[in-house]
Amino acid sequence: MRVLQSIDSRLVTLLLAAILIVGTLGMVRPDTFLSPLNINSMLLQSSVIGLLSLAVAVTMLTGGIDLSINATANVTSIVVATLLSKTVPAEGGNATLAITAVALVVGLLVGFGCGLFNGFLIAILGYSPILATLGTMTLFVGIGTVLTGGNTLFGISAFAAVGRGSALGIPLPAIIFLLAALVLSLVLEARRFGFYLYLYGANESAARFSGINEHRLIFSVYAVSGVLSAVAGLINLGVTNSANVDYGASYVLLAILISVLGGISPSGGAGRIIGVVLAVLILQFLSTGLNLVFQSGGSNFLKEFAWGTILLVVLAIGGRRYSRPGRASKGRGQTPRTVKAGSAVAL
Amino acid sequence: MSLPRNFPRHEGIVLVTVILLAIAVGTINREFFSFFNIFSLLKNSTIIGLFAVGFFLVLVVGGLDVSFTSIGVVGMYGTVKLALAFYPGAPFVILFVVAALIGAALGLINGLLVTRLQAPSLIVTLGTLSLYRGFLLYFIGTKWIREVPTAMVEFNRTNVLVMTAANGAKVGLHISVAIFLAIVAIVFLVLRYTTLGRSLYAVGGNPVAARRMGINVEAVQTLAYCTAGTLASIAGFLSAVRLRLADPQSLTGSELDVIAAAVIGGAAITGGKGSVIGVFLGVLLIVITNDSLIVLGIPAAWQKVAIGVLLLVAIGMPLLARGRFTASQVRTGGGLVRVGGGST
Amino acid sequence: MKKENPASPTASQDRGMRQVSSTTSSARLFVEGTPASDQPLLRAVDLSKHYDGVTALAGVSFEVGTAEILALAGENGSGKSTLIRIIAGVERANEGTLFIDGADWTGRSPIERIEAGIQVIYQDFALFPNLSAGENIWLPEQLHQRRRLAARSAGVAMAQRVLSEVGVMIELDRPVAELPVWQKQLVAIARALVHDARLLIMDEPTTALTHREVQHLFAVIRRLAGRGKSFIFVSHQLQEIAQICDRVVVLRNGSKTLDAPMKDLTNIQIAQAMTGREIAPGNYRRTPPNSSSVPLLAVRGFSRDGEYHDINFTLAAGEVLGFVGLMGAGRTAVVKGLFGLPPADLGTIEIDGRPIVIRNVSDAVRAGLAYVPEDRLSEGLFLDFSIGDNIVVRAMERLVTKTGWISGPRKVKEAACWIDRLSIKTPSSRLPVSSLSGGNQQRVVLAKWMAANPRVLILNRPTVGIDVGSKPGIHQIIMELAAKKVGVIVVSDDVPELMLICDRVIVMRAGAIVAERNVSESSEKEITQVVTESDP
Repeated sequence: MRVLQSIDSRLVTLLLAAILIVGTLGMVRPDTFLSPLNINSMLLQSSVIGLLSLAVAVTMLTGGIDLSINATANVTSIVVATLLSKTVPAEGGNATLAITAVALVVGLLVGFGCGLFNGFLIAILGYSPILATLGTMTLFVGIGTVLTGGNTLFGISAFAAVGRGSALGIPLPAIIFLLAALVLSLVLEARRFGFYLYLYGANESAARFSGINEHRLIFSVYAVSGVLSAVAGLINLGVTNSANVDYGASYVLLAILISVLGGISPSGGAGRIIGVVLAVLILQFLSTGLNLVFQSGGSNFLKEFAWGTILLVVLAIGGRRYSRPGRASKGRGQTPRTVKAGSAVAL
Repeated sequence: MSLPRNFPRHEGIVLVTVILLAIAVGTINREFFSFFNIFSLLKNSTIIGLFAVGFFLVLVVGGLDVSFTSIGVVGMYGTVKLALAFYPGAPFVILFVVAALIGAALGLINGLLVTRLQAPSLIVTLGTLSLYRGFLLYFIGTKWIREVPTAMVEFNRTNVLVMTAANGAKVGLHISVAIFLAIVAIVFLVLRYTTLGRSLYAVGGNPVAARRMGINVEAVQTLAYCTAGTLASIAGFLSAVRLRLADPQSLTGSELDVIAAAVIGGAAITGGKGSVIGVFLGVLLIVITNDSLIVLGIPAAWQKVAIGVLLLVAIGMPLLARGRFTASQVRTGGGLVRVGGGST
Repeated sequence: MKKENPASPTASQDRGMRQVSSTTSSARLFVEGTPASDQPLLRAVDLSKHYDGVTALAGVSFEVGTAEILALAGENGSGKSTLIRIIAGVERANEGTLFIDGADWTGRSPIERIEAGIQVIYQDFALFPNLSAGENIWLPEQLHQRRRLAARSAGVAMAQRVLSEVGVMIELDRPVAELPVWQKQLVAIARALVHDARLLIMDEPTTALTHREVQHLFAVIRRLAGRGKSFIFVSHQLQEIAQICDRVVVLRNGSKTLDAPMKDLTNIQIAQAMTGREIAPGNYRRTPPNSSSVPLLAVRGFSRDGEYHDINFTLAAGEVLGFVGLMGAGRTAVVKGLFGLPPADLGTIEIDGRPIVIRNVSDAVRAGLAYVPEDRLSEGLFLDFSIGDNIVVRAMERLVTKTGWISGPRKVKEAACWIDRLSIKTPSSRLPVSSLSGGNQQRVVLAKWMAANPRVLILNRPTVGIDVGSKPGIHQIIMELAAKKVGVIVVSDDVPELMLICDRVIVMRAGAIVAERNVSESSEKEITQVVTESDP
């Protein structure tokens, strides 16, 4: 009901692709690929990039983008790590738990704050989302560098329980990711906020004319993006027990690729979270698959090549869905729109 | 020298900022105005500057090309490998031309993809960024090459201008600066005095009207991407010349300086605005900022912060100038999908 | 030949425009040396055009001669734009022929027609905002000549020459984006002239001009006509047509309803030819609204710099108030100001006697206002979304559960309810709204706002672009709303329509209210006269 069937056919395609890839890899490397260890590992690895993809996806739905997601994630983990390293006493026990809780809240607040700052630049000051988040990305990386002095902060084990833990055999980080996806999906599809978000992404001026509160929407969206990025950073901290500014250099590109693959239209107003989740899994399968098949260390580079190719292929197939409606678009097969006040569609 | 009557406001502000900054730094550190330092600054501006000019050209036609670092390394590494494989003794000119051609080819691919795929240019070039670099690193190689062709080594030792410093030492202005300045001059002349150059601005300003006027919008856009690729490749090649080393994993990390230089210099992300002089000044500003932070003893960590702030301020300036912050009116055209048609 | 117009003002006292006297300008004319032939410059014969079953033009024929200023008049949706596009070559007619200088040009491309001297100056001027005025004038010509190098100084000289022909000077160095609208228009005209245009088709050229600027434009047109240029002046502003044109061709619903020299016509005749008698005289308003002491809406001292000033009016519950005037009078700005899009600078608004502040759309909506915009496609509807989605946008409060989740069934029911009430013709509320006809789309927009239970509903040209048969349906909906004590404001250019549905009509001109009439005590003729009166 949200948009046309093209999205649902996209979901079906993704699902088929996922099954196909798992099937193929399962046949080629049955012992390794389908082993519980590997599945566990894949789920774990997809959590961080998954959360970042959710962050990008939700901002892309409004027709904008958040390039600062990775920087936010890193600066969050750095701030929290710095806080913890200065306050955690040598002994464990309850004291650490309370401090961990505080650290968690601080981390989320950092992400929230970063997101609000983005929202402020975009909604109030009128910056274009690309430039605003490019600027804040630099700023956050800079702040992170200053805090770490360019080094990596080691030995922060407060969140290790989350990083290493699992429930029902599924790694906790993966559960967090899936939970976040679920909540986001529900909000987008079944709550007013989500409804307004899709409308705004599809047609800004109609949304304005319909009385949808633009400012609140934008602030919320970028704040959500910030919080999701912060969670990603904290999970990373839990998994690696360390924090630095360079982590995840290619993650922004990957997150955008995943969103676009998952059906999110860069011009806004179309795409579903379930698609993003499927895309995350697909990319994770591909990544692991490439690692297994191409045992040589160069698989990272092959992956880079693959991601670029896949993105371009997806764009090529996606077709005209991605051009911006109205204004100078190349047309989406709709009735032509006029630009000037004072003239309706003139025949 | 008096400024021409219609010297643009934005470039004027940047010029003044550069001058003030230079004076400020120079006051704290007398060395700033030495030949050595100035020549060094200019030398440091070259690589970023070439990237920035290319990036700016694509901005003018209403697009966004973030793949320049990848094109840079492919051009650099590819040229060196080709030379070592077929013609190690090649004269510099041949190497230069090969690098330019590689860049032109990659830029052409960018242009064709952007105009055909009808997807936002940011995303398309993110794709090619990854594609080109991944291709290079996986299919061509990842090893450092230290034994670069002799022509490159020779070139690196060449200076165009030699001045005597206060202490009697001889200081040379590296020849790559001359190449950079020559390219800036050529771009300036083409943009200002040829119909093709004006068409670039026309396409960026109003692609619909441009089409009506008979301008081949896609061809003009593709040309911009092609040129950007050429310049990026030349930049990459020159960086290898300077370091006497071809490292296919280099050049990452400079994206932001390049984008900042273009935006600070007055190029609008919506297209159709800006000048190559402005970009040049923007590059100077960034380089001086980075250098002066070092000179002033400020930890390198603050560099990114400084650039980030500069960038945000530079973007904010035209918004402020508009008076009221009517975000809703301003944002049209600023989002992810750039105006200028779905094809960029 | 051109008709002498005794009312043409001298432009020499005007601010901002320095006149270059024609005696000092170069004697070179920009008219190609075409010998005066006995063939008209342009002749259209039986042009017809259909789109998807809708007839845009039905057998239209007319002629334009050398140095003639022809008015092409008609309401929005009459077929004017289609006709222009066909003449320009941007579209092909399904039937009919087009002759230029007696030769059949029906199949020629737009570029060829420009070569022949036919140029359209569109409403948006198609200029490059980032380039200077001078460049906008000379660059296209140099591009056309396939020049590689841009000869800037020669170009500037050419631009200056043309501008002197036109009789105006403009700062050529300024970027066009910074110029006021009337100068942008002159740049567009100059650009056409540089290209040796013989026939300039100006599409609604006065929309964004002030009255004085319109007079300047007319002076330019007359001057150029004196040099042998022809014009097709596309407009529906009666007063302006009367002032400038030699001959009038009127289109209505795709057919030509009038073709006569201006001197043989009165404004009323032209107006009637434009609107026809599709709306039977009469008035739906049987029961006048009850006039309680406190009006539903009271607006005082409403002003916005540069757009409107000191607007005062009241609206009673259940009353239908019409706003009429020439384009540019400020009506849209006023009603948008009421809705916060953007808000006014000064003035007070009272609902039921209580003052309210409207700074943005949210304030307006909360106060019970609703606005159906003119451009329903890009401002009123979300075309890719379903009909149901579009209808319920403002009704969400009713459709969420206590915990805030959207109730699917309630949404469907609400949509179905409105589809039924407003007789929206669609098999399903799930279909995209883009699948509907214009009339039904307008009903969807109405439904959206009616679902918000507004107290005041503002409609901006609600029946424009809707075929004649569907208009009564929209009118009925408006009547029902009024019967439910909703205050309705209708902005329209269609005086007969307003006579039909309104209780009162307010006439605006140049940002101010100049008259107010009760429909029952007035006539269509009288109101039209007030609207089209010349300035004192």
